[in-house]
Amino acid sequence: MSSQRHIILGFPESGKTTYLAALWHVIEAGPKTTSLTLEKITGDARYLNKIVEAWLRCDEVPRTYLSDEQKVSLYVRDSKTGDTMILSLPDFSGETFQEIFADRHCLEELYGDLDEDGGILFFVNADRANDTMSILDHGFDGEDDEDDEDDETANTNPEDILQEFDARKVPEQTRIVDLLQLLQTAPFVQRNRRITIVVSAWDVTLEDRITPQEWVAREMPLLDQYLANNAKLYETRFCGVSAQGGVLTAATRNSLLAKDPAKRVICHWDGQSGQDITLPLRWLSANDH
Amino acid sequence: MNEKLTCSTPGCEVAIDGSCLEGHDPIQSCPHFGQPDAIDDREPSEDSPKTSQEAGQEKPKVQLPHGESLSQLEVDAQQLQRAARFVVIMGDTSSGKSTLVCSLYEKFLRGAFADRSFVASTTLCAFERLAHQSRAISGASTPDTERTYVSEGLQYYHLALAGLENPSRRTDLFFSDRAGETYRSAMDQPHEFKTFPELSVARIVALLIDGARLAQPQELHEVLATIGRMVRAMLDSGALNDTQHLQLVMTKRDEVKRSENRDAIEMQVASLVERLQSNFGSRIATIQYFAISARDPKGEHQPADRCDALLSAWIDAPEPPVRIVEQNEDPSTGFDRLATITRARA
Repeated sequence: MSSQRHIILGFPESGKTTYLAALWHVIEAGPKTTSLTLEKITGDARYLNKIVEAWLRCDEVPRTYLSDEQKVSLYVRDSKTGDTMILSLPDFSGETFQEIFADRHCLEELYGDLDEDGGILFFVNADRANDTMSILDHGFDGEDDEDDEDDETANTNPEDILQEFDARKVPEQTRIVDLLQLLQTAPFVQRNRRITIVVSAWDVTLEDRITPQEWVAREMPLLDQYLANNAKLYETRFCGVSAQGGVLTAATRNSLLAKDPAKRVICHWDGQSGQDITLPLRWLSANDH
Repeated sequence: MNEKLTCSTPGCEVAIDGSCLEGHDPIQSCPHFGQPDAIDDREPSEDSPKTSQEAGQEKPKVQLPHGESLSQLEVDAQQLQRAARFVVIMGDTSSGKSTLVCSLYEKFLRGAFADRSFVASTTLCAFERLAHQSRAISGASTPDTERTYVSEGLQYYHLALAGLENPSRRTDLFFSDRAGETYRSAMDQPHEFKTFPELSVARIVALLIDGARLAQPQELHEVLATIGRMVRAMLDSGALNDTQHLQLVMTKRDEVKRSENRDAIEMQVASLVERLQSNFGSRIATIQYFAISARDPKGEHQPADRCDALLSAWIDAPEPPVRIVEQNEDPSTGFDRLATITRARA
């Protein structure tokens, strides 16, 4: 029996909690959309139950807060291969990960979970604002030169209310690259790991007709370059997931509620769109390294 | 000798028995030696890192690399793991040293640049601090870069890049940053240039010429003359030698281009470059000239305009030729070999 422990990572509102709720339902209920079935669960299931209830009602799945951290292990059997695996998914809150970049330390407990051989499911949210925007991106899009007689003084504007640098607000791709680098630097042990970049809220990208990898290259170029150039450290796949199936407005909510919960999920994996959100986990566990 | 020995490698007992877990000898050659202990040492522990829990309610935490700009010692430690190329970026106050470094980082945030792509950086936090005042989130209406103060001393930024055509060719670059006033004051005591460690390890010295000041008629001649004197001072003091490449980099090209006197300015700069090449060309590997606009506040030039050629020159500048030194006859001892090495370096 192979025994691998994978970890879910992602900054606040990256979609990992919603994914976890959908995953919990799919493998617990054992519907026909996946080959993974739940054998047993260890740990505190209250947290999982809480988030899956919200997910089933098509409510916003409550965000994980620091005090809500719960660690559970799912013993899962792959009916296709017959293999049994342990999916330990410590869903540490996004704030815990913020501390890593901003404060340059991490909880010892998290350190232990991060410093494992298992795979990584890293979440980024497709429904996000551009956080790399520069002042010049704002100011020179065609409407700036109408009254520039006094442009010699444009360099100083006493009216500006300058915000102090806040490490929690630097571009998300920078924080992700930093974290992935840290995981390969002492005190962590450098090792080859599998990682799936999961682009959540994938439904908002469908009109763009792009793949998850293309989305990462377009929206997070630094991360894309880092992963491409560090294939010896990270064997990478990309996945698009809409664990809720769409945006939760009054109109769409009713149509989503009308569907079988497991079938409202969208999972873009390996060039195909389907409903099996366990595919990235199965790849992380696959014994073909 | 009562100083506490530290190492960031978990399980290393250098503090207890003075030996390196990874077998480095001397222990100072270990890249993790001297780094903070892996486990936060608010509560020093004899044998278990978990004892910090006893300090209070706070959960124990593991200290991680800081991600800020690096000291010379930290750079030396990184060098032990991987060879790197040092680029000294020097120039007067407000000549655009930090803005140049920042603009290069910002380009890689948006994709490949200068036929290179991003591989790694151990100073991402520092880059982000530099970039803050150019970001929309800063609340400023005009981009700016926080200046480097004398009190900050010498610091380095790190960027590792790979060629787009040859991704396996990785180049680690360390850019030095130091307050302009320090270099300026060294001109009065040229021997001080010899005390700057960044100059002794640099393969490339990029000397910035402030284009905004060139555009001011009352400043033009003083700026150019200062550049000439600075080059002379560095060479005469022996801080620069013929294994190093000197680059004269006119920054804020956008300001010069907007000046009514742009033709005269460019002619004066060209004349300076020619004079320096003629006077000092034999004493240094190469002298090259670049004109860049790292960040035009009016947005008329692309960000990092013409910085691609500069970056490529940093990466492609050749290493000095290997000097063949006649070996001592029968170098049977380590001291004989050392004598050969010493002569090779002479």
